[in-house]
Amino acid sequence: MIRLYDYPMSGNCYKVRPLAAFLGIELALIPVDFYPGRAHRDAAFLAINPLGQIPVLEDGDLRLRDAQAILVYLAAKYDGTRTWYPSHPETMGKIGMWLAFAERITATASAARLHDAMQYDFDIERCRAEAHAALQILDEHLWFAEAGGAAWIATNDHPTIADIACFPYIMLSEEGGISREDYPAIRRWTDRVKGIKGFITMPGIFPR
Amino acid sequence: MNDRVSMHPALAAYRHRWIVIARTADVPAGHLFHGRLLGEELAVWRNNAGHINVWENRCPHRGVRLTIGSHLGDQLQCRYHGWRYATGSGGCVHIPAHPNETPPARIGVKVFRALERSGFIWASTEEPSSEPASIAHLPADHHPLRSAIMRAPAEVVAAALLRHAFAPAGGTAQRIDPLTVVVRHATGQETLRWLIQPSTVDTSIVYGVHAATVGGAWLEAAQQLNASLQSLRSTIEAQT
Repeated sequence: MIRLYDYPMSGNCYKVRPLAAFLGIELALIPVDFYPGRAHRDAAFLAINPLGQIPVLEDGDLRLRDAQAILVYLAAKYDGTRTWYPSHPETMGKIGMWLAFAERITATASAARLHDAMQYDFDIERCRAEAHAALQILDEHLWFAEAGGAAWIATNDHPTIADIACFPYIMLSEEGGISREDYPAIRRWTDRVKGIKGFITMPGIFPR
Repeated sequence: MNDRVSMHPALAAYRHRWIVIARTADVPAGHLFHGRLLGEELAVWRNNAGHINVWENRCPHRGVRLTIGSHLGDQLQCRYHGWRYATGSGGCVHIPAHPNETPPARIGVKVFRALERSGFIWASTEEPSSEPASIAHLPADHHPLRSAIMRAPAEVVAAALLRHAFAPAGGTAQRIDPLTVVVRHATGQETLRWLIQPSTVDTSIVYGVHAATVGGAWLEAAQQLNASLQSLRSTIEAQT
């Protein structure tokens, strides 16, 4: 069975769980005591991921770190319809661009949440300002996507791993003091993500 | 009307006015839209028949935001203890802790006057004096633009829109009421209309209405106007 080194409160670990659910993949979850245990910095875990980050996925002999990389792998390997990661060059380029953007959301909105909820020593005002700047970019993108008939970040009709990658830390932003009040197009899109058949939640993210 | 917080004097001047609070497209079926008008947080949603509800975004039980709740079709359910409120009246119709009792009639969400017209949703915090010209004379064939949220009082935003104008060569801009600026072509034909929503004393939302352009040129025009409006926003915010 595919194994996921997981922490229930981690938005990055959560990215993997809904995609696995959508694709009907069963995951064996291996809990990592991220907080307060800091088990991801233990020698034992550093042997699994020298970057000391979760999630990590193991499938047979393959070991992958980085949530975005894991999404790419699972969608490319286990989605027979190739709707979650279409093998169309333009779409793949767009998805790559928004997977990198998801990392920017993590670096800002997730950092603000770690500061507020888990006492991380970050420059909170800077985290929040940069998160708002990123949300402004996505809201504008989604507004014009909608105006042109597209419901998703990188595609028109079917969500992709770009939507999954951007979703968690946007939905958890208020735990870092970042309101989504100013981003109506993002709020409509988060409703659409929650409406995907088989959607699952995590602590702090409500169902529709 | 609201006895918890007194309205800021700068906002009180608008309280008998119909004010735009969202585009029609901002509140699709099943969505709980989080808005704000004259400092009041709003929960805006449609029932199954499409009727629009503009409510205070606050469960009367424990004060939790209703926009994190569930849309049940003709009722809205609070996330916290599951109290349910009916479309239209805002009256409480179900309390899970007392499933066999009818909730007392006095329990209900605060409901604002609302109407939906010409692609926008309008609300008023007090009895509105009349239907404003800004609704009645919207161009029949128009496209809404992407709204811009500006950290500045409505008065400052209206003055800046009037000054900046976005008017075509030879065109004019006119403030037809405190919260509406109309831009006309040299021929007198309306090309643009800006509707201003005073969200709080120092935050305003600008909604644009663009008279229909020929063919597929609308989206391109909407992108250009969005860029201009965001640039104006930066200028205004740098000055306030």
